[in-house]
Amino acid sequence: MFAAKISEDGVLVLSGRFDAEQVEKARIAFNRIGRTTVVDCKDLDYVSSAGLGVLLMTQKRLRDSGSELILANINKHIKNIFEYAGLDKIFEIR
Amino acid sequence: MTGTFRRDLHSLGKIFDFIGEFANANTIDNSTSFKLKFIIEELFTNLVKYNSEGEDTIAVSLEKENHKVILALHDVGGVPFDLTTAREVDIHQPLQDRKPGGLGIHLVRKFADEIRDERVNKKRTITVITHVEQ
Repeated sequence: MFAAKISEDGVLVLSGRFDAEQVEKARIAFNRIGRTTVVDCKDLDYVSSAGLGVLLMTQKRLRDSGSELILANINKHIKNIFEYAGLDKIFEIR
Repeated sequence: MTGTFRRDLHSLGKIFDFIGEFANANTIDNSTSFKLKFIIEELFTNLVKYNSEGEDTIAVSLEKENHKVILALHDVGGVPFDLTTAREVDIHQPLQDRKPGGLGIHLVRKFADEIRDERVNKKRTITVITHVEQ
């Protein structure tokens, strides 16, 4: 089960499995973001290239207005994916 | 073990369950299990998106052999395409030049020790061999 919820303090909290089936649900949440936002991935188990695409396109849109997504608490498997895809140079990962 | 799944992104949940069963039955570690999920999702979703003219179902098989996992997707019908000839993406491009397309195949190549894409008449088999991490 995948969920993307914005907390009261403005953090986007992702959980579950961010696969190709979840892209439309995820886009709704990411399209609401209009400023620099921390994405908490503590409970995110998995991301596929479809999920990376949503993150990448959101980062592009935000950077155009001087903002960005900052990723926090990503697990080692997802971190590997970011490194292999060269996305560790495009996102600040905390 | 082999499972057959409808050519639909809604099959992904069942495919992940299938991989989980294989991992449990073969005491596959989490890193390898993650890798298998990633590879199979990428290949399956490519077949859903780019081979909609194929038959209604796609078969997925998984086999452990010593320290390797051999996975295969079996597809019938549709458009001939050889995955191994797909263009490589440039992962060093700056953000403004980056496009999401092609990242999936790039990552499958990173995870795979060997990839074969064979077509005999209308039957296509994509085989990926990857090593067990632990």
